[in-house]
Amino acid sequence: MSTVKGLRTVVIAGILGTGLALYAGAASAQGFSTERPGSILIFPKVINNGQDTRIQITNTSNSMRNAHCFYTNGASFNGQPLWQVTDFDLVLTRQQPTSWTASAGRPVNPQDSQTGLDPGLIPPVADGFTGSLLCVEVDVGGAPVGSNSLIGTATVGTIEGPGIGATNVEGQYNAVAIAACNDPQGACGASGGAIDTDNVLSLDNVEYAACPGGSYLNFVSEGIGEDPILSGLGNGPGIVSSNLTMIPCGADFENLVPVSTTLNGQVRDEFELRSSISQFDIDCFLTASLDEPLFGGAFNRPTTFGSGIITPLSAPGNVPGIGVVTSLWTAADGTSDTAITNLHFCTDEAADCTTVNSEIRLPNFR
Amino acid sequence: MTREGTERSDEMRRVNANGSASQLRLVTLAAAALVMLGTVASARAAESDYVAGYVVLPKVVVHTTGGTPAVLAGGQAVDTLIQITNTNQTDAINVDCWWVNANSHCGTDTGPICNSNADCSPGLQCVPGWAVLDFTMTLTPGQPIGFGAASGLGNLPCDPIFPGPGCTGNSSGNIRPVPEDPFRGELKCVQVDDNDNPVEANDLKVEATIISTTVGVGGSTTAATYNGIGFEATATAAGDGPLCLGSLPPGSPAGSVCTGTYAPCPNILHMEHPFDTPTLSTELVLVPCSEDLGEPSNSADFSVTAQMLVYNEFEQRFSTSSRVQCYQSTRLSDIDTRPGTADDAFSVFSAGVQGTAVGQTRIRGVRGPDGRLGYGLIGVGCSSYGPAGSAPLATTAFNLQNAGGFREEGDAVYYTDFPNQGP
Amino acid sequence: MLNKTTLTLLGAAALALTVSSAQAETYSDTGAAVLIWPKIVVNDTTDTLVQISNQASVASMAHCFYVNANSRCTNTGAVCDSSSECLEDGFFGACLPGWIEVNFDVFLTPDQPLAWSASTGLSGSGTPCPGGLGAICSGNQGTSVPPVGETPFIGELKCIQADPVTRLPIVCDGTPACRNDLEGGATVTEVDLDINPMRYNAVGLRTTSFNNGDNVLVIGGSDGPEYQPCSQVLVFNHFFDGAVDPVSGIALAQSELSLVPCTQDFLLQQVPRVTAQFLVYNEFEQRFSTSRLVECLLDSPISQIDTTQPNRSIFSAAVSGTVAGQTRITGVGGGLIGSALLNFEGAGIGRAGSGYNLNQFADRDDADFIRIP
Repeated sequence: MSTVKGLRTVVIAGILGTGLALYAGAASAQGFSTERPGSILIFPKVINNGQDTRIQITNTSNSMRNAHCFYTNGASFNGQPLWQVTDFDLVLTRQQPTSWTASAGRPVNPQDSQTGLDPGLIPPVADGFTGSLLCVEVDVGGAPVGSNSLIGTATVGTIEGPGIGATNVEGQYNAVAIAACNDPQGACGASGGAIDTDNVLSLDNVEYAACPGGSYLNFVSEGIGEDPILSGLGNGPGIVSSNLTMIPCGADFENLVPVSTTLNGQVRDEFELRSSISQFDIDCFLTASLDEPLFGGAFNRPTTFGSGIITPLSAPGNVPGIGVVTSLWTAADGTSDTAITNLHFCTDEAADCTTVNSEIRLPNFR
Repeated sequence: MTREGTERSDEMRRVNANGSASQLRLVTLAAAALVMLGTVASARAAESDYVAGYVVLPKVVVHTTGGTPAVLAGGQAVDTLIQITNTNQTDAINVDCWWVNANSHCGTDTGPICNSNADCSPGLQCVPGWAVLDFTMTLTPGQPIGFGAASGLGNLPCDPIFPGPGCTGNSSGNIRPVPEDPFRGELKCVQVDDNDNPVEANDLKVEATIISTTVGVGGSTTAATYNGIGFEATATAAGDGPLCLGSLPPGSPAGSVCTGTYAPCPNILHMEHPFDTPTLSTELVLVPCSEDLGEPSNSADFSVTAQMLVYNEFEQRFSTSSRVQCYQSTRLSDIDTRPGTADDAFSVFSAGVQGTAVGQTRIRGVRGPDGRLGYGLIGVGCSSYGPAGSAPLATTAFNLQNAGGFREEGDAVYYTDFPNQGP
Repeated sequence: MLNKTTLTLLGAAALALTVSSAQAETYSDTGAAVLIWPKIVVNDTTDTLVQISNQASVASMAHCFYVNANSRCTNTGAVCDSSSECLEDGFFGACLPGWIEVNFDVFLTPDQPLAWSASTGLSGSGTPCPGGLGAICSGNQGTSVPPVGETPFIGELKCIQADPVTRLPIVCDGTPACRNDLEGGATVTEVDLDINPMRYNAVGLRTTSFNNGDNVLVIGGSDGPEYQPCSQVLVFNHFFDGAVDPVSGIALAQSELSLVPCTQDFLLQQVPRVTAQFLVYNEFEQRFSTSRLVECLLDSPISQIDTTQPNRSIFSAAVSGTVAGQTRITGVGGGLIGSALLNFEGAGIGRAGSGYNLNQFADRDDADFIRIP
C-alpha cells in the first residue's frame, strides 16, 4: 500500500468513523426496544425456583418464521458461572403467538392440554434454574435472518391462591428486541446493512443494532423503613425491596464462553445527593438485591426515591448490561406482590452512554 | 504498448491521484452527510423505554380510605405511585403536567362518582366525564421525585422551603393530588421552558406503580409497574398551536403551527396476553393520542374507534372493535360482551372461545373525518390473577408494543395557552 | 365577638393583592350603558337587593332581563341542586342546568336611584314616582319589576339603557352622544341565625361612539363595536377555601364565584357555553390550572369548581398550601363577566362576608354579542 493510498485510507476511515460513530449514537436508539419487533429477543430473567416464568413469543409477520432459542443457566458453582446452555427451535406460523412455562417447557403433542400449534419441542428448565432466554430469528436452515418479526413477554411469579401465608406474586416484563438493520433505511439508520449468514451476529449498527450505552432506573430506596404508599392505604408500614437482574449485551454460544463485563454507575436521590455505584461484574448473569454490598450501598438513600444510570466501565471488552428490576412490595399483614420494570435505555452521550458494539455467536452447525 | 503488472507510469499516478481525489471528495461528502444525519434527531414512534419530552401515563387509579365513598375495612384500597426523573445531569428542567380526570358521575358531572349505572340511584345514568387540571414543577439536574397520586407532593425536595444537603439548584412546584377519590384517569407531562413553551429536549423518565392492598389484614397486596409512554421532542416553533405528535392532523385549521413536534403515535398497538379465564383476566386501557386539554369538552365529544384483530395460537383470527371516548378501561372479555362476568364465556377474548391459553391482539385507531384531532391510540394492559369477583391475588402491568410503525396522519394535543399575563 | 365590619373589610382587602395595569373596558365604578349583575340569589334564607341608578340629569329607561339559571329535574321539572332531589316513583331524574329569561322595563327619573328586592320585585305603585294623583313625582310610570320567577332562584340580571319607545338601544353616532347613564349594585343578604349582607357592584359596559339601535348589541371586536369589549382575563384575588382567617385565627374562609358569558342570545333563547380556564397561583408562586364549562351561569364555591370533593381542590388551602391566591380566568369561545362573595365562618362566631368585583386585564379581540327580542 502506497503512502498516499494509506493516508487516504486513514483519512477516509477517520471521517467515516466519526460519522458512523455519531450516527450510531443516534440510530441505535431505534434498534433496542421493548416495544417494537426485532430479530433477537432477550429475556433477562427466567426462573424456576418456586416461582415460574411464562414465556410468550409472537410472530408479528404474515409469513412463517423460525427462531433458535437458548436458555442460559446463570447459576454459579464455586464462584464460577456455570453458563449451561440449552437450545431449541421454534416454528411460528404467521401471526402466531405461543407460550410455555419454563418449568414444564412444551412438548410437541397435539393431544396434550396445551392447546394451539406446538411451535417445537421446548425443554423444561431444571428446578432452581435462574437465568435468561435469548431467541434469534433464523431461516429453516438455521442461518440468521433479519425480518424483525418477533416480540415477547415474560410473566414471573406464582399464585398459590387465597389463604394466610400463601405466596401470590406476579410480575411481567417485555422482552428486549434487537432489530436487524437490513438497510440504510432500517432501524439502524444509514450505517445499516444486510445480515450476512454467518454465525456471528454483530451488534454494531451494521448487521444488528448496537447495544445502548447504559440503562436508567428509578428505585425506591432500600431500607427506608416505611414504604410511601401502603401505609396510606391502611395496611402499613410496608416494605419495598428491589432486585436487579442483568446479563451482558452479547453472548458466545459457540465457544460456550460466558461473557463478562464490569459495570458502574451513578445514583442520585431527591436532594441531588450523588453516590457512585461500585464497580460490579456480571459473569454471564447477575441477580442481586439493590441493598447488597455489591453495589456499595448506593441504593440505600436517605430519601425515599432515587434514580440511577448503569453503564459499562470504560475499558476494552466491556459491554453494557440488559436487565430488569423486580420490586417486592410487602404490606404489614405479610401479603405481597412483585412488579417488574423494563429499564429505560440510555443513549445520552452526555451521561456517558455511548453505544457499544458487541456480538452474539451462534453455534456453527453448518 | 500495454503495461502489465503493477507498473505505474507518472500518467497513471496522476489519473489515480485525480480519481482518488474525486473519491476522497465523494467519501468526504458522504461522511459529512453521515455526520449531519448523526446529529439530526432520529424520529421514532412513541416508546416507553427511552427518555422523552412528552410522557403519558394512561392508567392512574386511586381509591383510598379517605375517598367518597371510602374504602372500608376489608375492602381493597389502591393508589398509584408515580416516579419522575430529570435525566439531564447538568440542567434543571421545567415540567408541565396534567391530571386527566376520567371519572364518571351519576346524572351530571357533579353527581356521585360511579363506574356503571348500577352504582347510581335508579333512573340515573352513569355519565362519563373528562376534566383536566394541571400543575407545574421544576426538577434540579438529575433529580428524581416520587409521589402517590392520592396525596401529591406539596413541596419538592430541593425547594427553597425544604433545601437539602446536596441541592445545587432550586426545585419548585406543588404536585396537587388527584382531584377526586376514587379517581381514574391519566397523567400527562411535557418538558417546557420558563414561559411554559415546549422545548426540544428529552429528559423525562416517568413510571407508574399501581399498588393495592386490603384495608386491615387477611387480604392481598398487589403491585404492577409500567413505564410512561414517551414521545421524543423533535422540534419547536413559536405560536399558540398544539403539541403535534408526528404532524398536524389533516383537518387542522389553516395556519396552525405546532408549538412542539414530537414523535408520532404508533400505528398499530400490539398486545400479547393470556385469554381470560375465571381466574385470570386482563384489562386494557386505551386513550386517544389526540386530546384537547384546554377545552375538555372538545375531547369529551371526540371518540376513536379501536379496531382489534385477535389471533390465537392456532393462527385463527377474530376481530372486534370498541369506541374509545376520552378514556377506556375495560376487561378484555367486556369489550365484545356486556359489562360484567356473566357473558365472559362468550367473548372472543375468553380462553374457552379461543381454545388456546394465549393470544395476540392488534389494535388500530380507525381514521375518521379529518379534524383538528387525530385518531391515534396509546395504552397499557394489566392482568389480574385470582377468582373473578374477588380482590385480585396479584397483578401485572405491561406496556403495549408497537407492531406497525407509526401513524402518518398526525395527532395533536391542545393545551391551555394562557395569554400574556402582563406585569 | 368577631367584628363583622372587620371581616367585611378583610374581604375587601382581598382585592388588594395585584393591580392590573393593562386597560380593560368593563366598569363597576362608573356609569355604563349595559349593567350586569352576575349573581341574583333568592331562597329561604337569602334575598338580593338590586339597586340601579340614573346618573344623568335626564330621564333614562333600562330594558332588563332576569336570567333564571336554576337547575331542574328532568323528570319532575322541580328546581334542584343535585340529582338526589329528583326522586319520583322510585326513580331519579338528572338535575340539569336551565335557562329561562324574563324581561321588564325600568323607567328612571333624572338622577334617580331605585331599588327592589328580587323576591318581591317592584310594582308600578310601589315606585317612588308613580305619577298620578297624590304622587310626589312622576317618571317611573311603566316600571314593573316582577319578582324572580321562583324560589329558590339563582341567576343573573342584565339591564340595557334603551329607547323608551323602541325598547332597543338608543341610536347614536357621536351626535347625539351615546349615553352611559346607568350604575348599579346588588346586596346579597343571608338571614339565618345572623344577618350577613354582601354587596358587589354591577359590571358595566360603556358605549362606544356608535350604536345603530338594532337588537344586536355588539360588544367589542373590530367590526362596528357598539360597546366596549369584555375583558380578556378576569383577575380573581381570593382566600383559598378552608384558609384560617389570619386576623381572628379561628374563622375559615369560603368563597363563591359567579361567572356569566358576555355573549347571550335572548331572542333565540340559545344557552351560551363558554369554557372558563382558571390559572391559580398561590403565595409560593406555584401554579395550577383547571377549566370548567360555563353554561349560562357558573355559580359555585370555588373549591367545587374543579372537583366534587372540596378538600382535594386546587382552591382549597390544604392543597394550595397558602392562605391567599390569585386566579386568572380566561373565557374560551366567549368573554366572561363575574363577581365573587367571600365568607368567614367559625364555630361560635357566626358567618360574615362580603361581595366584591373581579379585576380585569386586557380586552378581548373577538366580539361578543347580546341579542334581544
